[in-house]
Amino acid sequence: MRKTIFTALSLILLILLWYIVSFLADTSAIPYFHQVIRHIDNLTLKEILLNLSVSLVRIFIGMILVVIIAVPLGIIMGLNRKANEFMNGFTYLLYPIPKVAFLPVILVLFGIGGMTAVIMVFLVLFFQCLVSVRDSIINVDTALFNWMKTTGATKSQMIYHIILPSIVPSLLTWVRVGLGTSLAVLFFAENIATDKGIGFFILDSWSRIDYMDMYLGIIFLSIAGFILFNLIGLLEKRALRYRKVIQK
Amino acid sequence: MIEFDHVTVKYGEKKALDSLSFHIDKGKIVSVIGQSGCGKTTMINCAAKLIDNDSGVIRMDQQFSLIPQGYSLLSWKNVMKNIELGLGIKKMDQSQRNKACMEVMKQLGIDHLKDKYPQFLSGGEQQRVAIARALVLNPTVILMDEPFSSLDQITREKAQELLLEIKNKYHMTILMTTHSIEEACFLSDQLFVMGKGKLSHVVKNEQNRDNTYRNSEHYHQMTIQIRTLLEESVMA
Repeated sequence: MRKTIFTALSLILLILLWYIVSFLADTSAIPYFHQVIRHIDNLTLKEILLNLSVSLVRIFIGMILVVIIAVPLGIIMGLNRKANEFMNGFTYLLYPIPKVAFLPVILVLFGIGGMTAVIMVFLVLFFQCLVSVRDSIINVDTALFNWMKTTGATKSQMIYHIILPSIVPSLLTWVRVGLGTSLAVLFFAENIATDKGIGFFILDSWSRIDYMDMYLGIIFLSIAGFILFNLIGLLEKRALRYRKVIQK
Repeated sequence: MIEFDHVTVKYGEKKALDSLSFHIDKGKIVSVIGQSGCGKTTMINCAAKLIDNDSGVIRMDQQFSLIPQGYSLLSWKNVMKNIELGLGIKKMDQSQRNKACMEVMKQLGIDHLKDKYPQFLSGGEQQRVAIARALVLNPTVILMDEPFSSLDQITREKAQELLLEIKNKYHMTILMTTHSIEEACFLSDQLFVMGKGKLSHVVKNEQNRDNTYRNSEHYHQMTIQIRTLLEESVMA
């Protein structure tokens, strides 16, 4: 109940802030909130939802690819010191580079289209996931492995009972952070490399000076983010129900 | 039965266990006491086959359970799942697993906690779960590394009495390390004072021990004797 009240309050405050900025700016570039809402029609709604779903599918595919490659690699790095030392070189050389800098290269390799956007999401999220998985394994109490060894557990049993559950919290944090990051990257990549996606829709509306469509795109992006973050929150609550929550 | 025959373990040049020899008869409970770094945990890990000895021979019943320091319960598994994990690894049938777990949990008075997660248990309850997890494997030997160190005094004494009950009921051999002289004197049939990877003294306690033993003159004298021996071993 309290959560719902706080969410409603945040929404009211944001709309109020919007009205204040619109009033102070007094320009058609920042229309009032009710004007934007009144602008929704079936055709615009369909177009926005189509572009939004294209972006979300790109994020989803990018994240799945990251999980398929970075999780096993992170596990190997977490369990094997030599593999970790070997991979650290690549990781620390490539991790700090803004992945957007690779966009021209990716464009050359994959051309204009959705694939380039997916690859950009993959590149941005890959090292975040790899490092999170590796670190969460390094931090597992070695006494857990020792106890399992005394029961005669095999390596695969240890991975199943200790490693996989211990990476779940950091993976969920990664999904939450990665979702925001990948939306930001897509916003940029979709404009250069594609002609679909919510990022493309927003900037295309802006370039056509169709501010109503532009703000509608932003509003729907925000709604999608709100729903997704809450879904991740629910998943987290369910998957990590064994943890004592510090917050009262 | 546990037997160490001139067992040496080295970490680099340093000898953690230095030609260590002892024999523990079946059904006896033995405490190892000594200052930090004297080799107590190495001895337990060596007996549990977690580390290899550089020389010497270890003879021990194969059916053993380890209760590590801090219990090492898996926080993402509830009490029931933690206890049955060892049986699952040994590929026991699920219905048999449940039956064995419920039996042990009832014996230790923790059956009402079966669906709870370790983080929501008190230190004493976690300790009982760790003991249940060891007992369900039906061991003849239990190895314990400072099993009561994180408990408050009252809970610790109750846990010690529980351990004596279990030992008398199941006739298991128990080898445990501790920093507490009182704990060692109350629990042990035999007490090893350890210093620099070797046993400096072995003291037997043939008194019948129950919860009144702590008030006896023998217990009091024993604690004084062990303190003196421990100080001697540290000085040496």
